[in-house]
Amino acid sequence: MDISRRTALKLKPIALSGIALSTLFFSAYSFAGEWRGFSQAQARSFFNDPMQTTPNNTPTDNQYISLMLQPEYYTDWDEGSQSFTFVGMIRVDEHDEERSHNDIREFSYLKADVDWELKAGVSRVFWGVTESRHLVDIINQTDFVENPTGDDKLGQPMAQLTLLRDYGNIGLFVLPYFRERTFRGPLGRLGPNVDTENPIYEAKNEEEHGDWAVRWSNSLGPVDIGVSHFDGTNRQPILTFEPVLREIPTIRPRYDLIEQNSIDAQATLGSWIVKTEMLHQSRDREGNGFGFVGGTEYTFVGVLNSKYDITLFNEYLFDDREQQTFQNDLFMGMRFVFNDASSTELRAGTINDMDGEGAIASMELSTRFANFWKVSLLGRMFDDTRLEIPPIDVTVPASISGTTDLLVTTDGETVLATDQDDYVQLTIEHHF
Amino acid sequence: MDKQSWKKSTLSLVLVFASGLLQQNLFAASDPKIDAVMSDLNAKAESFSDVRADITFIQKNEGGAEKVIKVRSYTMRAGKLAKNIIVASFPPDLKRISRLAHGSETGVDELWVFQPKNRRVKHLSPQSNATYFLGTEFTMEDWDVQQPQNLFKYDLRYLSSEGCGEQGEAQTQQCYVIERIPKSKFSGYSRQVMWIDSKLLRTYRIDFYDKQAVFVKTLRFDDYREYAGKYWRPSVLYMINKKTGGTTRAIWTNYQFNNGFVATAFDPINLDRYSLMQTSLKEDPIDDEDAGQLPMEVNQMIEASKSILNSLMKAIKSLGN
Repeated sequence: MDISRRTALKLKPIALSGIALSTLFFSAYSFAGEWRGFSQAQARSFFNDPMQTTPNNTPTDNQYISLMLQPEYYTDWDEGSQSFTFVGMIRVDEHDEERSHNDIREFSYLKADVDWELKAGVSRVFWGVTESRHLVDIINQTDFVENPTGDDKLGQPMAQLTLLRDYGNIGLFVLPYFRERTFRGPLGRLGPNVDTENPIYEAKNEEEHGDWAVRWSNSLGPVDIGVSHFDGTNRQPILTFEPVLREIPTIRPRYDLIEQNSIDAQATLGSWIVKTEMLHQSRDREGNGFGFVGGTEYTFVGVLNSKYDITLFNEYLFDDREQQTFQNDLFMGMRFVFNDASSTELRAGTINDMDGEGAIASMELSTRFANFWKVSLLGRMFDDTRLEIPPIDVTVPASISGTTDLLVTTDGETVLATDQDDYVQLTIEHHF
Repeated sequence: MDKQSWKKSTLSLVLVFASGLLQQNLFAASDPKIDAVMSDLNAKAESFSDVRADITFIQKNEGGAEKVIKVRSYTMRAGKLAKNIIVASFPPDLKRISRLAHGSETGVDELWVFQPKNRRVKHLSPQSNATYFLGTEFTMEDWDVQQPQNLFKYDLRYLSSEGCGEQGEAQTQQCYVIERIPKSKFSGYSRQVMWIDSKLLRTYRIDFYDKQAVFVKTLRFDDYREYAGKYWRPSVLYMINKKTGGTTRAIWTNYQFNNGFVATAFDPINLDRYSLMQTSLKEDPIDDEDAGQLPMEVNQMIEASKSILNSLMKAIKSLGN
């Protein structure tokens, strides 16, 4: 039983009772609710065979077709002060059974008053200002199998109280249930083959360990700043070989308890935007760590007397916490907007490791046609990218290194490599 | 008169003449016509607290087909400053994308954009005022254009008076022709010339000149109607962009004044929630002319994308050889 079904089953009673309750509650009102959303066909083609061998030694054809549907429903009443939002998603992949997954991204009720708001249910919250990496965005778990950039997030059950005050906004978050990160299956690509059936939790009550967070944000002149504190289970797992009661060790995700303090700030200074995110994380188990992303954004509006805008991004990434991809990296990105009423846009970016250990480059062109259709073409390349697995006592058998894209380096470290995963992706969406 | 009094009177004559000349040079600050226009507009500005409207843009690029974009606009006034939210509603992939602007004394508006895909509210640089809005010929700063109350953001100069009126009608109204120069250095324009009628202070036309003082755009206001017994608003704005060769027709409907908007609704932290609100009014039904022009079956979509990818892969591989 794959992880998505396991999590979905646990959410089912909550969702069902929520639906029942809301139907009773809402039937008393007549409201103009709205359905919206999109369906998607996505084709991925990988240039190379995977480093791994698949079970039964049958290689896939390096092409993956998947279909996705994201329905959304929204309604409000009481002059907009009360509202309900639903966002769901389901994806079906032709080869990867873990990529075939579904999620309730949002299922929440919102009550808004003049100086406070209360949100309850499953929802998504975004914290952050940087482009290359959303370092401090911790509330929601990353749906990694959906998108390897980490831009897509799983829904998080929560109760959120926001107080709007003169000295800023205070957000209080109670996060009663933990969502595990999604990873590809044995037949999938991009990222390691993680044994999501056997996670390791530092918290005794595992996913039912309640987490909480608090955030203050305000605008002071040209500076927007947010300061946050999070206490609970780390959304980012440490990948480790701790064996289960089986003969073959697998890569298991370990979710440690952490306390994290972070600052995110942006200064709008004339044509320049300067931004930063930084965090300090402390763990009972492994000690402290510090992460930082900082950079600039500059937009050339109407270049060469045209309608085109070009925005240039530069960011530096640092992270000394355990098992991080971006320990000392430089990001350079560009966004080219055609302003042509079809929302045609070209995005390109590279992240280069300053220690000479790897690079990722992406380019994406997207546009709309016939009002309801969006098409995008994406290319992504990996060069020598690595991720360390904590060293283990047991020798990694060839059958494991085959299925998990592992490398054992000359100094005995076990390292993940994704060099074989360069790909091209075509996405066609129908919006309604 | 004796010699002394001749000198005195000559001197006083010269002084009067000189001060007259000085008055001419300062008329930008003390021109009674500009003062009258400004005080009239200021009186009008304070008389409504908020307004909302639906806008349908019909964009036509040079030699291209027409494209429709629909948005809702909400404006709230506090004295002479205004806050405005625009929420896109059509095409459906633009739904909920919203822009928030806070007007400021200096004429440099603060801008935020809400990206529904990842629930992110982004604070933009003031440079973005000169960006074209959703691909139309209107830039973000052109949004102010139909609010004559925002004239404090410009330096004004009276040019002339002439007959004017709506297009296709007899030009029987008396218009002031006023030059206005944006005070903000982030404006995309060096100057603008506006035609505003002297009686009801309705703008009929604005010509725009870019930073190189080249005449680039002209905007016409048509089909003025009276709302709530005193507010005149145009129903059609027609922007012609000589630089790009494109035109945009913006049709404003469903004006509603004094809805009781609260100030917190225009706070950037609430842009997420406010972008969803429909208000109690139903949206205009979607223009379904272009819907379903590509009636591909799902299987066909899969096959098509597979073959596209295959040819792409072949092309890329052959390039590599």
